[in-house]
Amino acid sequence: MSLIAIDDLRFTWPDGTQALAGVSLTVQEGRSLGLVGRNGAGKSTLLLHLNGILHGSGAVRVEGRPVEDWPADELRATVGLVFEHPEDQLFMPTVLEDVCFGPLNQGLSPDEARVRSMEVLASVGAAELAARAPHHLSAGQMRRVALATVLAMQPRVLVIDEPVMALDPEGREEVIALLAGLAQTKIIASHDLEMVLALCDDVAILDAGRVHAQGPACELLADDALLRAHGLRTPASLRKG
Amino acid sequence: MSKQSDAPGPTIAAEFAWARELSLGGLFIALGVVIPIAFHAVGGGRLGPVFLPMYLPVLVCGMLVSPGTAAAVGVLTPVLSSALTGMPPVLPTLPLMVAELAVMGAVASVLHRRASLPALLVTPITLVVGRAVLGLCVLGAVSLLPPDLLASLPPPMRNPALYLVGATVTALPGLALQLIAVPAVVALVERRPRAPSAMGD
Amino acid sequence: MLAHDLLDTWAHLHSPVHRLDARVKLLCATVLVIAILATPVARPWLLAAWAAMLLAIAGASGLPARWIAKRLAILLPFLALGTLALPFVPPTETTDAWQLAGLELSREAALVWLSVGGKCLLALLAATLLTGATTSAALLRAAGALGVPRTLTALTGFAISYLAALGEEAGRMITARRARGRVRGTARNLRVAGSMIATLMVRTVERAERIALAMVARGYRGRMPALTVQRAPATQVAGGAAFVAAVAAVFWLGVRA
Repeated sequence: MSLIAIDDLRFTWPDGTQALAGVSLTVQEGRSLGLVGRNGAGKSTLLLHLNGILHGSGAVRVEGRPVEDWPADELRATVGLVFEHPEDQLFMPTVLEDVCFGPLNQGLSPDEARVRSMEVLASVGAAELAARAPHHLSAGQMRRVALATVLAMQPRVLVIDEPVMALDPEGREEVIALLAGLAQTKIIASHDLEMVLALCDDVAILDAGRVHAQGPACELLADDALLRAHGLRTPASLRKG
Repeated sequence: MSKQSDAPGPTIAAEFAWARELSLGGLFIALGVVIPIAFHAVGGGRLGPVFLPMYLPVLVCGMLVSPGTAAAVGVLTPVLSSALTGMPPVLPTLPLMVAELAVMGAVASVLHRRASLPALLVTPITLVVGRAVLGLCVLGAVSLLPPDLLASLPPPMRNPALYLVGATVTALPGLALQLIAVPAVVALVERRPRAPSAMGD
Repeated sequence: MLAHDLLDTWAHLHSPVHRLDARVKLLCATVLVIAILATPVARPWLLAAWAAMLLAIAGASGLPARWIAKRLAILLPFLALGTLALPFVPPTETTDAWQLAGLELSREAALVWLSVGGKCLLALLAATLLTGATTSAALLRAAGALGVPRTLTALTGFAISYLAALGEEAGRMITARRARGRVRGTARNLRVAGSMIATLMVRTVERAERIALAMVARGYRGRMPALTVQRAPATQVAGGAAFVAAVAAVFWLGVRA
């Protein structure tokens, strides 16, 4: 049984733009998936279907059950979604309150939430930031805290949209190392194919709202012709000659 | 659209709508503090009563959220701005602005979201209502305040009608700016495909 | 960069004022501001008493005088305008007239202006000291603890959280516009300003929706969750009560004199 199974997912915005034109893909437990594609391919829209925020036609199954049959809180706790802009996910006055937001909504007591949040903050190397105001942090720190806010809900699947966007090389390395060390199955949407290669076992190429190929990362990302056809380029480390 | 049972679909939509009320309201309060500062930085301190920069975000926000949130934004924006930047001055302007903006926000919300009137119409109506509230408040202050508090009102306000006319004439450029900018922004915002619309916002 | 040092700039210092519980500070500040605003016009020296209290607190707080002065300076145009208008208010009777440097001023109007200007200045000073010596997070929690409805603290919390970010965005737009050369003419300037404000507002709506998505993705159910806060130390509560009593006593004495 796949952890996530999407079958012919279609989604059209109210103004008529079709964002997803029949997406089919599967994610196996323990095999991280990189979702790659050019701008406007539909990556971010697709991610919003995985935790039930958006509903299209077709089937989205998490752990074998259709998302419609999942109670909302359980689904959001199972599929943790980390969005692209960290500053738009850190809206509480302090880092600790932000990380506690999820667990408190899950029904933990304030003390339990505090304990869990401090553990998670420690695991992402941000424990000393607990009392700080989130918007006074550096970009890399904000990324780690944003990750912590979702990890605190103990999701089974971690879905991340552009984890290393706009980070300097040092920050990028830190975040990649952090993600590599996480036990959860990951779905990572990104342009940064080097990072996808480093972190993901499988890759799915999304273009114009449809998945055009899905397979092992090292194979697909080495196929330059395939990538070019969908607005991408083979990462430098896989280029021959 | 796939069949939606009670659990994930409508619940998340309702929760998103409420979350959006808070985030929109809060961020536009911040804009209500920032935009006047920007005006100040570019144009100097005399431009406030002329261009009414604080009114722009309050009016736009009013048309995007529920009446209660809109009124709260109308109250909190001048209060926060006064506490952080000193403008509007605590006396006599702040109470007047709180009343005017709170009522304007609520009216804009009711007219645009409940009565579904277009922004182009709602804006002038709301501005007129706002000026009327201002006039009523000054009138109320003059009629109801005990003599020694009355003495602390600046002389121009002792004649409410004259004051209102004067304040409105001074603010004509600002009122014009609202009439042009507010419907334009509301139209821009409402035309984009947003996540919540998919869930029946 | 606009609005970047309005809050939390000096909240990390360790003065006695900084170390006071936020709820005590907020309550005392509120009581003091109410007393300031309620001071009758004919009691200018009562305002002086409040000023002395505030200056003492300012001294104890260790906040840089320059920073405080900069914050108060925003009122200068307003104060200057009012002061310059004074000579234009004619005295009502000869007994009301005041000779000052060759000008005949209305004594009543001058007193009123002193009162209004003084109140604005002192209220702003109180707010500046409070926000200077307390983190915004602690202030919000204090407001909630003192009974302010959660919706209002939530809205204010969001406003505070994104104040600097929005100020930065606005600052960047202004800088970018300036780099493209000066715009001549008020009408064109107004159009440019209008379009920048419009862009800022649309971007803010998009940001607000991203924030709402993040809230929902983390299980938001219509109520902002809150962590528990420990009780304030009894000594501080007692000190706060003493302060409130002192303010009340001074006010009573001042009004009765």
